Amino acid sequence: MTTTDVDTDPEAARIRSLVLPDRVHGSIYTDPDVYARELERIWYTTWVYVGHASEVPEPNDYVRKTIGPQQVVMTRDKTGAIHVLHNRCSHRGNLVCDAERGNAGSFRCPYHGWTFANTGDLLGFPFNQGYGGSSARAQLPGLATAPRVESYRGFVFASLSPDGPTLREHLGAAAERLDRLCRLSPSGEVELTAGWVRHEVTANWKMLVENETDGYHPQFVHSSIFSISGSGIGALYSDKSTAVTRALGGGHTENDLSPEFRRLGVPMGWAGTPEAKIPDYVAAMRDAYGTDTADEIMIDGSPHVMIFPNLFVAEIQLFQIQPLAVDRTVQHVTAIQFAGAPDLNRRLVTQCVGSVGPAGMLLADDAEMYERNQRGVAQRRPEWLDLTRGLHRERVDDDGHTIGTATDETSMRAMWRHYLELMT
Amino acid sequence: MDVVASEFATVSVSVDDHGNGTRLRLEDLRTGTVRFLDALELESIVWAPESWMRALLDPSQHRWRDADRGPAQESMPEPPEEPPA
Amino acid sequence: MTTALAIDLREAEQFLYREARLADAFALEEWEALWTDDAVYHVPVDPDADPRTHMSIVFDNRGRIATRIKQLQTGRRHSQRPPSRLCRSVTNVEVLGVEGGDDRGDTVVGSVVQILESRDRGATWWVGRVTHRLRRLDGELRMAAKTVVLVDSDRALPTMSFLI
Repeated sequence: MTTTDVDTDPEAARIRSLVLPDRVHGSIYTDPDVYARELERIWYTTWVYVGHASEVPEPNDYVRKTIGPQQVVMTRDKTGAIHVLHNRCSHRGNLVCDAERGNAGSFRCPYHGWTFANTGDLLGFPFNQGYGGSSARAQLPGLATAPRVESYRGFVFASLSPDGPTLREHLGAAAERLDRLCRLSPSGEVELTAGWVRHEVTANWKMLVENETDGYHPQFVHSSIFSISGSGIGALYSDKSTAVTRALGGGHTENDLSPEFRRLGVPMGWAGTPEAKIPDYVAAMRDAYGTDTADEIMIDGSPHVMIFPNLFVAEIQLFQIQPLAVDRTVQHVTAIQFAGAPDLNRRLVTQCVGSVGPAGMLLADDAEMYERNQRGVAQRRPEWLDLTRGLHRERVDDDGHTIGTATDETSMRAMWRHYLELMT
Repeated sequence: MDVVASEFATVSVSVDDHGNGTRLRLEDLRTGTVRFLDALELESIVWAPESWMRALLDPSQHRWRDADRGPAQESMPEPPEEPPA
Repeated sequence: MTTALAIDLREAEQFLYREARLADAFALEEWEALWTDDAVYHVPVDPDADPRTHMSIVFDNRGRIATRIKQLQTGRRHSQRPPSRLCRSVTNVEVLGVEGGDDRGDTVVGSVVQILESRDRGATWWVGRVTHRLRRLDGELRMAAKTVVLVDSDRALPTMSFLI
């Protein structure tokens, strides 16, 4: 990423003064100028998660998606290639595509009938003598496409910048977390087929990103549900936990709970689902990987990883974060479904629906915290938010990643370090 | 699934909903070749001028084309400039 | 059949109004007692999708309804601390028929609900079509199912942690 000379870019210097190694200024969440720069430098530059290949399973399938406030359409063309198109007619700027999903090889704008292939190419327009005939087609633009679209294990990312690191470079160690997720399927594939719940919060998007791998909050924010459901999740995020918070580089962070799951040593213990309730899944896993490897996979469980800036995999559910304004953010959430695991998948939908979304027994309370936090940081004093938790006990693991204990703010500090690289 | 058949061709016709939206599935039952048509393509065929359909029926345009003429789509004639009467 | 149809429009309306009042007032135990043991409480995203394989906003069986109530009763359900101020009106009540077909069939009642929710974040207007499945048990009306299809069910919704 480009680094700006602070002498010639006073805004860069100002942002550096708001984001320090051990604290951030409240205005970083509320300042519209900061938000405008985030859109340009983060959301419209870096790799952003758009959707999953399983959402467009057939040739000519499409789904509407977002890159922050940008409306895009993710299409699969006749040859199977995936494209990310801006939902804006190249003629007068109308939204071209209205339906959330469908199957169409081409899109026709409702305003004047300009027609585009699902690759973005302009196919034609009505009464073409007004443009001198059909040959004008070659001179007129089609739908704008994301300059770079790449996928990893079916997860489709786009960058609105033609240059920059490859997706693989961007993901770095986070790619292995997606591998860890996918290997929970007997065929190694995730399918996002359960549809989406969309939850809007009156809060800055970074509140959400920080909270996703904040291991300090669950015991407080979620104590109401942990205390009555007998859930062991609270204990995973205590000072006695052997789980770690890890900075994966590139602003990606995780709560690695696998040490606790290994201590427990029960296949599918991480999902709170006894083997006996999902015999078909367990058998399919042991067939696919062999008993020892399958049991290891089912003991280690699913990742809890925040892939900067907008993809959060929380064991059994996937969140896509979408900023709409400096103080408005939508979380799109779906239950992760594993190919070849119908009995497990039904349980995951039930479990996920209970937890997430506007009425979710977990997420409604997280959302309340984002919104209270957003109102809180608008107050004048003491100006700063503290980020020092666990700073004195951070260490570097065998892979060279910075780690802290389950409740340390290692993840937030790492997110902010990467943020500064992109923003200044 | 329905079959439209004559002494010259046999094609099965069905509405397919395996994708994110419905589309027409056509299968040339003599070869197993399948083509899907979406709603906008179907509407366009409804409105296509006869000259376009006549060109489509020229065997050397697609299935029995000469090998040195390149991919079939490239050599399909441009539809006429004027809309059908 | 005769038993089921013994629930007439007036009685159904009275039940719906009472249920609405109890939910508005967070009379949690009384509201919970309105449910049958096989209850299903459903707020779908897509009313045509199978809730066992697709995401819903709420999809509670009787056990999860109990959990939802207990969570509110802890006093630590932060999204309901303080509780939302609620006032809802129930209109367009119609007896739509009987589900089940025999003398144990439930009476299906359609209605429209409009709720004003006021919180510190501001006011939210929730509107949806509601379907109740009502059953008479030991002389009392109970609900075996309640489905609320919000007008905005597939759009981004703010937090909705009160009892809709």
